[in-house]
Amino acid sequence: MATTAERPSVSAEQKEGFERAWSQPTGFLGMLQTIDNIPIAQRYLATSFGFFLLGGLLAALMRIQLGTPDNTFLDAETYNQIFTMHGTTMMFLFVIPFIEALATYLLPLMLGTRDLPFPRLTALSYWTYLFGGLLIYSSFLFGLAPDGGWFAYVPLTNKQWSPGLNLDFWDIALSVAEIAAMGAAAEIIVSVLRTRSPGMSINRIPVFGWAMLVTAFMIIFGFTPLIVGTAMLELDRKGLTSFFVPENGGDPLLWQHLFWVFGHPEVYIMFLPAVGILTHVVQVFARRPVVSYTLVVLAIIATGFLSFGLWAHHMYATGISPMALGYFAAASTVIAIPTGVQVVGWVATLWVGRPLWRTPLLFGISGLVIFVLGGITGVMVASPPFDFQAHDSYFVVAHLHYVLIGGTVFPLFAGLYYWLPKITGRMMDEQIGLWSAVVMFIGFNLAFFPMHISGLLGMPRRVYTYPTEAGFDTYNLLSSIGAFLFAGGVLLSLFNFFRSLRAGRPAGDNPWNADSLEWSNSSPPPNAQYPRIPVVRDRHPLWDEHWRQERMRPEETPARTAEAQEDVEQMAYWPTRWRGALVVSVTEGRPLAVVHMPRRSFAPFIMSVGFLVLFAALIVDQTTFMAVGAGIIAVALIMWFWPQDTETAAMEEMYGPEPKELPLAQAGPAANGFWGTCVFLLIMATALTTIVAGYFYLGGNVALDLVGSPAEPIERPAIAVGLLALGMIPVVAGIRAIGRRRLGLLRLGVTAALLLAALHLWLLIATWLGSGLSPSSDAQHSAFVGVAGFHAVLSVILLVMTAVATIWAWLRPADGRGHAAAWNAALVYGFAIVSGVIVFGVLYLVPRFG
Amino acid sequence: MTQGETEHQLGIETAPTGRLLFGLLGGAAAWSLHFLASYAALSIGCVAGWRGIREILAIGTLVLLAVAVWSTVVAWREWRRVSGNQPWDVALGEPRGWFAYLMLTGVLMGVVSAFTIGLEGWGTLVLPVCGWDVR
Amino acid sequence: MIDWSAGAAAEQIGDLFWTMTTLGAVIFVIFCIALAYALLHRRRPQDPATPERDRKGTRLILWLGAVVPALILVPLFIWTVQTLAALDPRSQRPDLVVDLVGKQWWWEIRYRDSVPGNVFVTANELHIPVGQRVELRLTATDVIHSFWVPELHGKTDLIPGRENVTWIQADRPGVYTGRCAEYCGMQHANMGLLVIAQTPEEFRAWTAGQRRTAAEPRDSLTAKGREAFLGSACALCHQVRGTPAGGYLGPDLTHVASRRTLASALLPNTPGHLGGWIGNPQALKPGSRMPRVPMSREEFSLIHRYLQTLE
Repeated sequence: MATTAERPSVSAEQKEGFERAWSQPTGFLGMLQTIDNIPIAQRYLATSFGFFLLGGLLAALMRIQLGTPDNTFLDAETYNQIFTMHGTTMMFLFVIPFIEALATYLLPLMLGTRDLPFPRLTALSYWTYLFGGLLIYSSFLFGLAPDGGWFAYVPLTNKQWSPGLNLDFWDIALSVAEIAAMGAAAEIIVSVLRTRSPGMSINRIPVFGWAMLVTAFMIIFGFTPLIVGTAMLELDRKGLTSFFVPENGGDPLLWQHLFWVFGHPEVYIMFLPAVGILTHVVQVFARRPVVSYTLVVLAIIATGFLSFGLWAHHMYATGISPMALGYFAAASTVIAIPTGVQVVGWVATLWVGRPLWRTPLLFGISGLVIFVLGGITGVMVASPPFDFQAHDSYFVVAHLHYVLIGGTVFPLFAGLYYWLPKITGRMMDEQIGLWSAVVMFIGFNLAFFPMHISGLLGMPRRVYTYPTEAGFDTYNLLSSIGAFLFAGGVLLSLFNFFRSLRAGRPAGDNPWNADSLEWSNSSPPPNAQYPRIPVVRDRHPLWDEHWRQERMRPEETPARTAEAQEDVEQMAYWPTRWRGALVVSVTEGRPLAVVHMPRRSFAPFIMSVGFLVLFAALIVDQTTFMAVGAGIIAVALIMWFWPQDTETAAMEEMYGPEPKELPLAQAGPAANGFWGTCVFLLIMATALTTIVAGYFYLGGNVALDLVGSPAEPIERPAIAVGLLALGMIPVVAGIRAIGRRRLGLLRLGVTAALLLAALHLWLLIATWLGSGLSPSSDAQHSAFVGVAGFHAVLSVILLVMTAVATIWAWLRPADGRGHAAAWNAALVYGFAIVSGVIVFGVLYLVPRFG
Repeated sequence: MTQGETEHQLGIETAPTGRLLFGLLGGAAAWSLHFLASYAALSIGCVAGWRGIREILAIGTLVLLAVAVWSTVVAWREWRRVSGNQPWDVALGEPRGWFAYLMLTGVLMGVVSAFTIGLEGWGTLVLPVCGWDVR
Repeated sequence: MIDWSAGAAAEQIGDLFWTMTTLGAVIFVIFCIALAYALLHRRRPQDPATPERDRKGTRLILWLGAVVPALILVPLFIWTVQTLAALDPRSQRPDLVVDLVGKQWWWEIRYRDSVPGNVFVTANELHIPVGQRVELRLTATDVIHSFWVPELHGKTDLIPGRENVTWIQADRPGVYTGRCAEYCGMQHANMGLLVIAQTPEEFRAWTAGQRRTAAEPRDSLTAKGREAFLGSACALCHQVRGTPAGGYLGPDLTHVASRRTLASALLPNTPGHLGGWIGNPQALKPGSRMPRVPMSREEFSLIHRYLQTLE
């Protein structure tokens, strides 16, 4: 066991203080202030499940319409809105938020820490997601629901062919929800890498943790191109640019590339967390560790990589080069291998284990069977010649639902039945669970198997009706019946859940005799989660005792464990005046430092309201409200970064007369903020890559009439980038000055950097404004503006961050929070130089010499 | 106790960060680069009317295949070096096994990447180069 | 059932499909048996989690999860690549080249010819000679569409600003139904077309008929009908070769009466449906780009009569 039962006792006073520090604010206002992961994750789970039910309702409407030929239950317009919103809801508002919610709840518990690394970001993610979802659904009230498909292909979604606000709702409201997804991803990455319990080295992270880590990276690499793409589409729709307008040299296929470079990894973003869940469920109910942790984790990583090499298999029919088809087909084929490894791994675990029939396992196995069939049809559609037939037909509808419902929804239900006792403290009913699983399994297959056949018979996707002569009647009727059966199964589980809240048997700490740390905690866990931080000695900490005897274990690692034990000892029911958590080294899980955690804040909620106002105003083009929204966001930002009392308390205590052995990490590589900034830069680097690729795709480099043409002088932009690069000297000097406590130098350094960065931006913008670009009527000019605009936005962010660091340096030069601001600004500064050089090369050098 | 002593006492063997990263992710990076560069070369080359696209791509494939294999070999050697004569899985669950664990992962990633590059290389040899789009 | 035997392209795809399906079914059954056995078999009392079992299990996973799938997937991939190369539209010279333009929500079809006067345009009905390789040049003027006649070949997209190429070849005469497969807006569901494969003689006769300009009215009532047509909004969007009507937004109506269907394979071309379509297109195909043109009863019946003579 990892708990520390025989530790010396802690005074009641200290316990009380600790619990007060971790108590939740109460009342309605308190609800808006809460930033603790547990209450937020509960709201997150409930909201996303609500969207799941909404998406299901839309599916039911579609199945009523398609149950009979030439049906007039829905008209074409409504049907198109409904299928668009069904896909959009399930992808963006259900699955991704739901797994992020699950991770928000479980990761700190599972990794043995007290909260996620950026609690305010957790709250911000939730509120923005909620508001984004409500915003997009509000379109139904105006009869303006998006109707361009969840993939929103241009030119259909250009202003010319979709003049209504429908697509603006889709574009803008989704961006709000995507901000939430990115925030949660950053959180998950830093959480899994840095905030684990001591002893949990990288080779002991629970599989769910690995799965979420890879998923979070994929969200970063996948969602960024989507956000870039939707931004371009919205600029097009506002008439400011013409990236995708064929008449102006724009290219509809660019949108497809941007969309699917998100859209295909998205499938695995949904599947990999399910791999994590299934692995936990399989090993707990097979009552033995999964056979080959190494291979299962490897398969997760390999899938993460390969999933970025198959986006164009949604584009086989667009006429791209056969050789390119070969590349995408190869990656699409190979990805079956890691998936095969996972599936065989689970079967092998069940084979050698002693399976215990409980509802989570039942859902897991049902999902596995369905998923394998979907995987087989997946290998089939990976073959371009066959895909020419299957693509955009009901065969693909069948395939994708087999993969997503079998590979994600069933495992999520397995995970819910498995973890809800931890969350609610109550067991769900086994009998009802069994019936729900059986009904869902039968209903699912009845609904979706016939679609394989109707698709091959020639039924295209996204049709609101079909004639009886086409011969699709029977298959569609079966599908509709099955869909309602499936819905019945889902409702049974919902009933089971509500019943358990009232009448469920109390769960106890570890009802399933499971292995991972969350089960060592009480059900439901306290808000502080681990007053005593556990020290992990095994991959399966709770199975340690009997596991230990059978494993060949060379000598323990006494020195390191003892050391960790000491650190943990100091943190038992401590700190009491502020919230503190531990950070560990990435690979070995060695305690490094204590970090301060914020306690409560209105800032996330207010900022989300700002986003809502700003984006709603963008939809309807209301400049005044845009300004109001931006103002609210600015206020929230100031509140966010305003010095907190608890942090002052932490500094007093940590640097006070009795300093603790572990340092307080506020700035520099040990602090969470540093890692968060790194993730932010990863997002920006992905965005830059995407935009530059789009620039070349649109032929920006061959547009010799552009500003970047040989006729155009390049001195000014060259000087601008040179000035920015020069700024690195004061930046580095300033950062080094922090360590040596030479605070005057820090002051000078950040100030000089601020001035240089400002001068650089002013020079560039003056150059670009004077170069006579007309992005609204020329796609190549749009491409230029895209690249230049990216660098300008990055530079503005840099200016704000450097300005904050400068203000700190002048007002409170010795304060660690100011040092954190300087460190983060320095990181962004370094990246801005890289960006500047790339942007200069792409816009000015390539057209000259390329 | 300084960090170096601890490492020694606990028998944690590791390698310079560069080699660690190359062993772990070199294969995957080679595949990613191969994939993206080949597709970019095709997209640009077909529009710009380059000659010898197939040859360029074949050479790129060979080079990156070699990188992937090399990364696999590096990972393999590091993994064997730190594992000593023990069975392959003994230390993988121990904190001191993290390096061996990452290198074993690197070996398998390298094999998968090399396999994928090879499979894509097959397409390079036999498929028509440019698009059906005749713009 | 699924019949992909009418054309050379579909046949090759069909072979690949049936092989993959059979293989997939076998693998799925083996998986299900293995899973059932894993769950249900009698356990020996030994401990499930010894290192030896782990090692054995890992080896098994590597073999069954990685090596065996790779051995199946590699030949399949090679076959895929060969088929892909064989389906390349430029691998053989076509016997006939036809332009297909996708529009919301119908198909414009233009038969190329080296003699400019022999070029003609029709809509929603693609006639091809049996046994000949027909190359299709695909473009679109508004949004993306996709050409799909399952019995003859898979899909190829029609993309504004690009020209795609595909080919079809029918090995036996018949009428094959095609549909737009890419979601293209409100009436995506009703954007069908017919491919009519005819013997070369029939095809030649049909071509000759299509090249002619519109039939002259045979009686005075029809002549009045033509006048009504030319005087109405119809002529702004539709072309009738041999008359001043030269609109290009809607389908060419020169030989509309010879077509089997109306409104992009939505309705059979009967006098009743024709009347309904002219009278109120929005009722039959809501959202259609053809507006409801207000006209008197008399105008309506004259135009109705005239259009029926355009064979």
